Amino acid sequence: MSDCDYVQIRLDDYIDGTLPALEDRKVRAHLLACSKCSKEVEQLFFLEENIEKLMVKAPDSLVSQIQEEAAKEGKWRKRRFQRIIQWSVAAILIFGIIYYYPRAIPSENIGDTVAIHSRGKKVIVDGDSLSGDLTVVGGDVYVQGEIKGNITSIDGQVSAMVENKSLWERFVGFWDTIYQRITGGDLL
Amino acid sequence: MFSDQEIVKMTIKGKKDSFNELVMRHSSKVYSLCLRMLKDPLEAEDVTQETFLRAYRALDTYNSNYSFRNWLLKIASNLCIDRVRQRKGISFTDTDDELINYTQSSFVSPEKATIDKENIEKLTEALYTLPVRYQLVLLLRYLEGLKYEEIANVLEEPLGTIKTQLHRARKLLKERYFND
Repeated sequence: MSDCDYVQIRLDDYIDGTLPALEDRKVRAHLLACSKCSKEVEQLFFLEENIEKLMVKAPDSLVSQIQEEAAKEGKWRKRRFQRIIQWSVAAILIFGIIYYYPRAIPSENIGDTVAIHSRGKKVIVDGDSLSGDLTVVGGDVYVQGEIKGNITSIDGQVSAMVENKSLWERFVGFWDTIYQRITGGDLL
Repeated sequence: MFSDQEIVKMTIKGKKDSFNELVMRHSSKVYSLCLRMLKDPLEAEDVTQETFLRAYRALDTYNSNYSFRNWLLKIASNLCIDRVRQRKGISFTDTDDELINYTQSSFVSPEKATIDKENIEKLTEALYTLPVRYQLVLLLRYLEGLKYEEIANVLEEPLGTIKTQLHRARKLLKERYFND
């Protein structure tokens, strides 16, 4: 390999200043002796310096315009965030109502004896009369009607309506149930 | 003085006008790259604005381990490449004078401007004859001062590819500039 070849393959690193010290010294020594290689290096440095000069300042009007547009986007971004919160709350409410609202026993199930797998939902016996036993697996039983037989709840609780509750009491009771489900404690 | 990353966090938290500081800091770097790539001041302004707005909309996805400036340059590079591809085949030489005047009026003193004008004119002409990718690596390296690794991140290419491209770009530019 000639000295010129040695320099040529190291030229990029030399220009970038990333050559190891020993190689850098060798390249410098060669450049002092070789006009062809030194001219090439000179040209590359020249181009590098002139590309740097292509940097321009962004017009002030452009900077202001970008800032104004970003401010508009900021307002939209804030409104979008508020909408996301609103829709999230609405979705949680709907989900809560669907998931936790007491499930009525279909009238065709009201017979002598009923066994229900409630899958975590509350079973309500609402104003109907059940002559036999009622067994509910995996959910609470809320009795508003009449059951002449035995009530058995597996993995759940049994409660009965003592008197008609007001709408407010029903509302509080509903959220109390949700709170219990989440935290295991009483809301009130 | 807050770092870019800190300002990004403030902006995400909703601190009013904090993004303005980022625009002040980086608009010239982004604009210069766009201007040199697109060779059209109006289009460069358009792409610069688009770059900042895209960045603003995607601030939540910005990785703070990465330089914010490089992230902007990445967005700008992609937008410039798209624009160049869209108008491939169209001649851009009619805006050369305007482009050179821009450079002269921005940073260079009047005395030096006379000496530099020819060099810059010749250099911009030589630069535009290169493939777009070569223009981009040269501008990112020498105009923006990025390291090889940073260019590789911005252009999402392996480091070896960037080194090769830069080597070829330099060689080609030298040939075009000094042999024409």
